[in-house]
Amino acid sequence: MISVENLYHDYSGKAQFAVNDVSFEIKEGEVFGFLGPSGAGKSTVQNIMTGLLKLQKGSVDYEGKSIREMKSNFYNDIGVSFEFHNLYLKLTGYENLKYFAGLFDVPTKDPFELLEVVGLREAAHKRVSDYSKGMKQRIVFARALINNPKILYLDEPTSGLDPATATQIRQLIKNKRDEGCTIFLTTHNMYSADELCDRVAFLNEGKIVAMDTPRNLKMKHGKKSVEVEYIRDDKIEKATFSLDNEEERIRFNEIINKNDIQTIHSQEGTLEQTFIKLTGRGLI
Amino acid sequence: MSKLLNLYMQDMKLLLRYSFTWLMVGTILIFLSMYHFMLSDTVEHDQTMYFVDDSAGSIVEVALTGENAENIVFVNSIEELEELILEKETQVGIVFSGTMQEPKFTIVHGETMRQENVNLIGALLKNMILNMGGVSMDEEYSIKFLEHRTEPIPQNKMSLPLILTYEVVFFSFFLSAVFIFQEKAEGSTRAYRVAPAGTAVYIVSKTLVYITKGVVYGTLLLLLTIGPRVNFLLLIPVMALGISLFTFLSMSIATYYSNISEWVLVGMMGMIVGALPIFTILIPTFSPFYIEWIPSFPVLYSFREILFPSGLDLSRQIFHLIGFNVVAYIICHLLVSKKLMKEGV
Repeated sequence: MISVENLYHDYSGKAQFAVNDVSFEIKEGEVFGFLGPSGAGKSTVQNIMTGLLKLQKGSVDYEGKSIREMKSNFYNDIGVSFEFHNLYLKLTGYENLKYFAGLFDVPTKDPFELLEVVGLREAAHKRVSDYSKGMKQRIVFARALINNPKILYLDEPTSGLDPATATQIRQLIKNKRDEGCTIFLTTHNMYSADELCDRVAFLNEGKIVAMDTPRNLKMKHGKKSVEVEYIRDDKIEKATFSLDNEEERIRFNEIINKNDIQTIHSQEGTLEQTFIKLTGRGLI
Repeated sequence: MSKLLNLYMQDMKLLLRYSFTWLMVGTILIFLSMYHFMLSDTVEHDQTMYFVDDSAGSIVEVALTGENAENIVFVNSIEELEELILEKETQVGIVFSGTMQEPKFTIVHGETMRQENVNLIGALLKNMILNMGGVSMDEEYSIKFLEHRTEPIPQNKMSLPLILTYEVVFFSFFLSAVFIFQEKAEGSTRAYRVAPAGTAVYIVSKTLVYITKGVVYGTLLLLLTIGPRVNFLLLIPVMALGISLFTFLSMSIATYYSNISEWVLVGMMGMIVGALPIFTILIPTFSPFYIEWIPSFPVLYSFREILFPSGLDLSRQIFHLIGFNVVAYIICHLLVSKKLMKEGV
């Protein structure tokens, strides 16, 4: 559905590429995560894909048609949620959605319905300047959905949110995924990416260093082991067993069979550990 | 069209919420109180001339006593005259010495005096001496006006074309920049870019908002000062053309800057250049070749002619305004499209 090939972007004009030879494809209905630390070039790629930044080198095609050829009606089919709020602070939440909806040529959703979905129905007539950060994030998300987009671009949708609001937003993204919406998720939050994405690409210093399903990446680069907590002689003991080693597998079975087991955790690793292993740096 | 109306409604609501309405009401009240209570129809000049006759036999004082010389006050000594003139800074004192055949005058004044005024006083004194000798100069001077003469414009109404140009129309230059920087700060322009509305709708909706505000402002101002006897059918389109012109110019400049403090220097320069045509009214001899190409010039002179008709043909000014608008819109569209809708903040 979306094809990005050999994408480069240079802000300085001195061949210092913020995006350096990036290629990937996104299938229809897929949630594709772009994972990387701040400054890795994630937002730049999203801005090129949404036509906000001029395509300098490479290609971005939507069902075979280049972003360069897209007219303004392209925006009828996409929804974009920015990391920064980009709202009219003097307008109410309802007005922000109502006036934005008026800019589209396609049928749009009822602002109140969307406010209900993001849990802001009660605050509909409150000015956005009085909203908390979480409320602003939710209204931005609601705005991205106003035109029933086929493709949703989400830039750090859970950044800086409290856990409850972040969970709410993640659930809304899952709902859109279940409706068949194609989602491009830009984030440095490994938990969001792990939970939501069908595939992720790791971006570091403008380059893709790995791309696969979260599971495959964790399996490929994580440890294949199990950590067990059990009680012996009234004391809690902890042990880790490699599943690749025959002897350790036998010992693991013995522990399970003969002791009172408290917890068992597989040690396949997290996306963050995988990222650190691949790039030598963290995600923040 | 529905997109334009939608955005117009949004921008109108924002304008009202940014307290500009109160600023407008406040300015109208200040101007009205000045117009009705502080500025009079005419400026009264005290034309008294203080005179010391230092000649033998006080020949001037004797000659003028009982004559029609109510503007002349005779003072006893030069010291007394100097004290008086220092006290009344704008007045002129004259000391006469010598004889009727060889008169000598000294003009006493508090500050520096323009040579034109010195020449005028000199001519007046010469005429006075000739009159005293029985020679009348009055019939030798006459004035022939080649153009149609109109009623002189009352002093307090003189300011109306200036207020309309620089407060009502030129204000859109400032307002437009403030709006753009506000949107840049909030990031709402960025959100607009991912909607299928386009550059033209963005520019035109804002321009229509400022035109609405300006027309309401200007009309109220005129109704509360000179009343309804104004050709509003001509005035409103000129006002709209002026406001749109300054909006396009302001938007074009604002695309280069990210906040108002970066813009302020260029903005102030624009305002200073825009204010130059005022001098063509204050000092009629000031008419450099470029003055008609300053966008505020056709606005100012169109307002003056509409409010105080003198029979001049306005088509040249209006043609200029339309031409300026077309060029300014094209530049504005290109810059907003390139810098605000693409790479801008």
